[in-house]
Amino acid sequence: MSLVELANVSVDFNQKGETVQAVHDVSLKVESGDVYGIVGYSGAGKSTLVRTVNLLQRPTAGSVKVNGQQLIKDGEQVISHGALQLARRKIGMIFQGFNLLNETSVLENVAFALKHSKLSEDEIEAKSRKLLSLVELADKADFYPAQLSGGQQQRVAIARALANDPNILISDEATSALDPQTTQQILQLLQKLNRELGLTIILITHEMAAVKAIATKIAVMKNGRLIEHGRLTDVYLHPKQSLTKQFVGGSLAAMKVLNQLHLAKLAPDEAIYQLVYNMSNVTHSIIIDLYREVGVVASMLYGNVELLGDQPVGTLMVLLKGDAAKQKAALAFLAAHRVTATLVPESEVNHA
Amino acid sequence: MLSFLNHYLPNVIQLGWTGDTGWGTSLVQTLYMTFWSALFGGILGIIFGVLLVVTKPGGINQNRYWFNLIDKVVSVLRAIPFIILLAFISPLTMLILHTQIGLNAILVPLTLGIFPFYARQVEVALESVDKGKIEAAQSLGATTWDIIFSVYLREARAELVRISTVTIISLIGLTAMAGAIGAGGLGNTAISYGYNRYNTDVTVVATLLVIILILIVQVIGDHFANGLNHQHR
Repeated sequence: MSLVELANVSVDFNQKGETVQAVHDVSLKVESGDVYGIVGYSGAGKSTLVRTVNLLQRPTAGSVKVNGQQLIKDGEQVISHGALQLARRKIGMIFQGFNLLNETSVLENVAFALKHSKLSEDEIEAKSRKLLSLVELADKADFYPAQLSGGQQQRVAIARALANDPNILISDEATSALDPQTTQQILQLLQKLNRELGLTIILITHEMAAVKAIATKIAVMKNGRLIEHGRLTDVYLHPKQSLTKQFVGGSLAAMKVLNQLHLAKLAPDEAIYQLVYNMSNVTHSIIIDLYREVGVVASMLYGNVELLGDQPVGTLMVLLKGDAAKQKAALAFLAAHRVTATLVPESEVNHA
Repeated sequence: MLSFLNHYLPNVIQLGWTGDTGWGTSLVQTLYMTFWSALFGGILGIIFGVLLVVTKPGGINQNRYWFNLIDKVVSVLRAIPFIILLAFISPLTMLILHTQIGLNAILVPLTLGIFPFYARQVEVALESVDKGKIEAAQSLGATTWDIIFSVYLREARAELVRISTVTIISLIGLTAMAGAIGAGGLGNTAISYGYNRYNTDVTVVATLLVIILILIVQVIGDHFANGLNHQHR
């Protein structure tokens, strides 16, 4: 069953008389058990889109269905204010700025979420302490949020978001304010929650690394539109859109290395390609086969292997040498071996 | 000691401690006026301040009609100088308390004079609460009351204590002004028994007492505000 169904959702903002379309006609389905990563640069509309799931943002058009309950139909709210409050308790959310209540203790922050549950005061405290143990902060129950580190505060926020046993957790740039090591800890915690509790997670981020680490599906947004979506490995290994290609394969790091090489001007029969491939399918060397079968020499400029979830994925930057016909044959060979080849324009490598 | 005081502050001593003109009496009157008008004005101010924040465009229960109404009421009342309000409001005082003079009658203009001032400050204090906290509470399914009490008022409480201190200090100033038109208190002592009778020593001592009162309020307010603030390590 789809837990979240967004159909043709658009969000318009009025800014000084001008209409700005933050989200344009986006349809998206999140299935139970997914870790759905939504990536894109700042201002792409990721946050606005995901806020329509719990109606922190009301869409201007489209339909929103969550947990089988219709919240918005054709741009109209079809759920009462009170029912929305109940529905929201089944949709947890964590934020970039943690948004904890600073004047209440860690324990009270979690208990606040349980205020309207059927539990007695003692049961609320017991459950809050249990949630804090889940995020490994049982010993910090009586601290104030400002006394904790950023990572600890985010874990309190996670405990609070999980208080009403939601099926869905929305993470809105939740790791963006944290250092890399803390980011890993939070991502591992989210992955554990997904695996052990079956929690469905929607992960919004501009950091591809976060998505690569735990997402099972991915959607790429640009200028308010969803330009590509699917299973993480499919999108990652066979990206269709140029923006997606930029996001995958550690492109930024690779380009940095390439720029450091100060390559000489390329000859007419030379071209640089980014090759991305699934390592588990590779039993023989593509580079050697390329030479044997097509007669094209590939010089390696940059190489990297990373984990997509549990799957190793390789990225190579190579310089292919051969005339136009051979280049074409090389690309056909690579495509046949499920290697995604993307031409890297020379202008991006040689800035001089 | 007493002869020293008799020599330098003859009129101060003559007023005595108790009795209609006594220092103790006027001090108690000032405290009485300050306390009750702070209580009534504070309650009204918090209600109006909260309503302003909740109903304003983008607020958690935005309502253009109510917001405009409350906003205008607060602005208009704030615009009336207190000394004019004292006269202007007397028919209302008559209606509520069936008298226009005395300590209780003065509570009506004091309350009406201070609450719009306080409401605006409450509005600013609540506005300073991070919008993200409101969103987080909404995402947890919190009700409007939850957000008002557990988020807005709770998170802004140190700021609320601070503005309350400022408001009480202003209020002590207003009670002195009320005293000038015969409501009693230290203001009355300074004007009626001091200034009007050329008893400079009485004016000076009454002024000093007002200053000491204000300092005490300030120190207590700062102490509580600091104790309630957990935003920083």
